[in-house]
Amino acid sequence: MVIRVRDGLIMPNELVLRGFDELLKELADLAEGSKRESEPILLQHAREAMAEVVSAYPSVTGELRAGVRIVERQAHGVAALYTLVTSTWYAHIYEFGSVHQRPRPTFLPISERERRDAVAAVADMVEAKGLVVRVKRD
Amino acid sequence: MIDATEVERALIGKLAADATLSGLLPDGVYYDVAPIGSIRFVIVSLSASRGLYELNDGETLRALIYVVKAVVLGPASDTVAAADKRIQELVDRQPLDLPPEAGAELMVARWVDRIRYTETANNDVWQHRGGRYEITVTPT
Repeated sequence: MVIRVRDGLIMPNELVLRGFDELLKELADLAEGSKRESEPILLQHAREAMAEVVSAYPSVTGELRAGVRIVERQAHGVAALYTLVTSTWYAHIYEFGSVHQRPRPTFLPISERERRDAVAAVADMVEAKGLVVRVKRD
Repeated sequence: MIDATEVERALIGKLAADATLSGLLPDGVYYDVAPIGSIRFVIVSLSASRGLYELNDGETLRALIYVVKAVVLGPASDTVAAADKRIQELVDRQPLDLPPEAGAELMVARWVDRIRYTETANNDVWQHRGGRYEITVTPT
């Protein structure tokens, strides 16, 4: 990139940025590259969360364990997105309790912890490139 | 040392002391399960928790996420909806008096996400409505 002041003028009134298109392309590639590198990190944490949730659920009928799966969502822009879901119809009652049974928090504490760990791991990856990440590391 | 049990007692105590909420749900506020025979009550239960260790390897914050929900027998939703609203008014970004035994001060109490489902048991319909609330405290 080259920055120069137009010749022949007392006051500079023009800033010429040469190679700006190239700079934009580099920035775009950086984002795309970070997305590609973050995908396996996110998928690994999603798989770890799934394994832990499945292991924590009781195996009476097997429905709770069988209902847990990872959904890869088509994200817009540079986002990579994996969602851990449970499709068992009574999973929310297991999690939050029924009138006669106490809550058994399982899916939420595990998936939320793994989500935080995944965000931190992606932030570490981006920072390793020399960039500054401003995210809530909670 | 933070005593999370005292935080829970303070939360339950605040909910139980509110006349409006008691009027809507007269059977009381309970941790995890209500006594048999209760038909309009509040349940408080721990959903998740985490500590944040940032300064000198000491515990800087502890975030306790509680389910706070109204439970009402019957298909009508006006009472459970009003109770849900009242719980939010009492907890979300509101003060919580913690006793010295808690070993902690409140940093923030905030609504996290919504809970709403209907349960059918023994031909009865139960409405569950409330939310998850994060109570973040710091050691005194």
